[in-house]
Amino acid sequence: MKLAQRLVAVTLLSALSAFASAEIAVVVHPSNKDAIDAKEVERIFLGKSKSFPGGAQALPINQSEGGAVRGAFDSGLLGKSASQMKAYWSKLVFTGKGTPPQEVPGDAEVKALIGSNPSTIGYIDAGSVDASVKVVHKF
Amino acid sequence: MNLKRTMLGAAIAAAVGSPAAYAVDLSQISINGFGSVIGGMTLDDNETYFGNDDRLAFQPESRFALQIGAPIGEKWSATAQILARGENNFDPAFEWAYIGYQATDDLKILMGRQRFKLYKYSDYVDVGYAYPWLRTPQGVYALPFSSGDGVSAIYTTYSGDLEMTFTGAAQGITIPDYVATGGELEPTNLNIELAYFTSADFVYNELNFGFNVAYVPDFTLDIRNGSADLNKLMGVLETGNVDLDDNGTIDLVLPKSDQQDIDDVDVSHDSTLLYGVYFGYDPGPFFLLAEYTVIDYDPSILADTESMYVTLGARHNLWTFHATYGIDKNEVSSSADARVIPALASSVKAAISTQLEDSTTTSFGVRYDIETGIALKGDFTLYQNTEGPAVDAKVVAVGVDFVF
Repeated sequence: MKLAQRLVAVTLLSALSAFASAEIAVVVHPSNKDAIDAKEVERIFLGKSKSFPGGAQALPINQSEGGAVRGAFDSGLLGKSASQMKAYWSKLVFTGKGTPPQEVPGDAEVKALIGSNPSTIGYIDAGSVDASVKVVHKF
Repeated sequence: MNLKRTMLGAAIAAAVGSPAAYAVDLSQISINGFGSVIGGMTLDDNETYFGNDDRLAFQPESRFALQIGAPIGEKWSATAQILARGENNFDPAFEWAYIGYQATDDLKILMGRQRFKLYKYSDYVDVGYAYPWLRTPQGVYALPFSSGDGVSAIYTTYSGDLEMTFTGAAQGITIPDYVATGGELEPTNLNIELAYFTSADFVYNELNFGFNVAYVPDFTLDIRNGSADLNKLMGVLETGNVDLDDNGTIDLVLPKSDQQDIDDVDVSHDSTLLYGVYFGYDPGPFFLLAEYTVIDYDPSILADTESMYVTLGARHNLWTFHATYGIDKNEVSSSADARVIPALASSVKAAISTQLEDSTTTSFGVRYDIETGIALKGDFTLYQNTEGPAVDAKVVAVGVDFVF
């Protein structure tokens, strides 16, 4: 009986985590020719790097706090909880060392901004990818 | 009439048009804030600890800050941060007020009022939300001055997986009502001439480490104004005249003290060296942090201090549990008591001993992230001191930290 309960719990957990970790695509303007790996994405979104590997300016676009895609990006790529990210940015904001990326509500707004500005980089649900953006990393 | 109308029309157009032309674009202005509401009390009626006594109170450690920032063109920005502390009756004061210049992607210059970056957490020690503790380890972080006016440079770069931040600053400040930690000085004037601060911070994957060195070439604390006893002692050292019953007549004339001995009691144009080093390991589910700091004064009534702490913590979902052990040792910086005439030795010894401390602090704390931007915290601290005036204390505190 105990084993059965445990199995149910494990199955439930893996089902839940599969649901929570819908694939995320990191996207840039189609004209961006840079190869951008996960570490580079992390640096740009944490404000540690302000340019793409090729030297062009990089403007990160975040999704709104509390959204599923933002949560998947924070935990999946940055390896931080929402609270840890908030703490990270508050340390920088209140000491003059940095400002967090611009935030937009969802995938559509990310794509619209990236389409209009070749310097931008964002992330969206992999299912929302279309020709207006180029995928540089998926996780 | 027509002309008048046209003029009126033009004036209205100008008036209506001007806001768009001159007013700040509101979407560019950022308003942020942080605060902590903390209630604390000691468990015994003879105990005090950083403003807390045995009656539950929310004033001593609570604080609230507002920050407003705006970009000016591409590379410049202006930022002001106003902080109100419960211990100062919530009188607001500018902790930060600076203009920033992003010289390159890696280099930022700040000009104006800024927090002193002494140790790992010094420049955001009031932003409770940014760290796990309810209060930062007080042996290291309980410094009664926090901001100065000057210029700083922040250089951030990386090489492979090693991320580096170097800061350098030159800042000075005059505080008319400075209250020294420890000792028994009344609020008095503190003047810090331009002082120099450097720090290097490194992150290498799950490791973080760094060091800080600050040199204060010239600072003065008006101890005569801060204490009637010290005022009297300094008078005797300088003139030799002793007025035993404070009635204005000299009862006894002693030899004047050497200027060196006077200087080794007074805090006048003294220099100070402050340095610290820290090491942290944070793989996520648990974390470890250790910091060691030293303040080395010119000989005076101010005691040299040596502090260290180790924190071990664990994270589980929204919970963070942590334990901290700290050691603080303050030793006399002056040996003037051994050189002055025997009649004054005990008075001088008493004066240079008021800040002595040999203590340990043991804390257990918990943080619960109830909402992104809001954390509930609890803390139990046991403070034990075997030297100097500070008394042992057991302190409980609960609080809520927030940022927006």
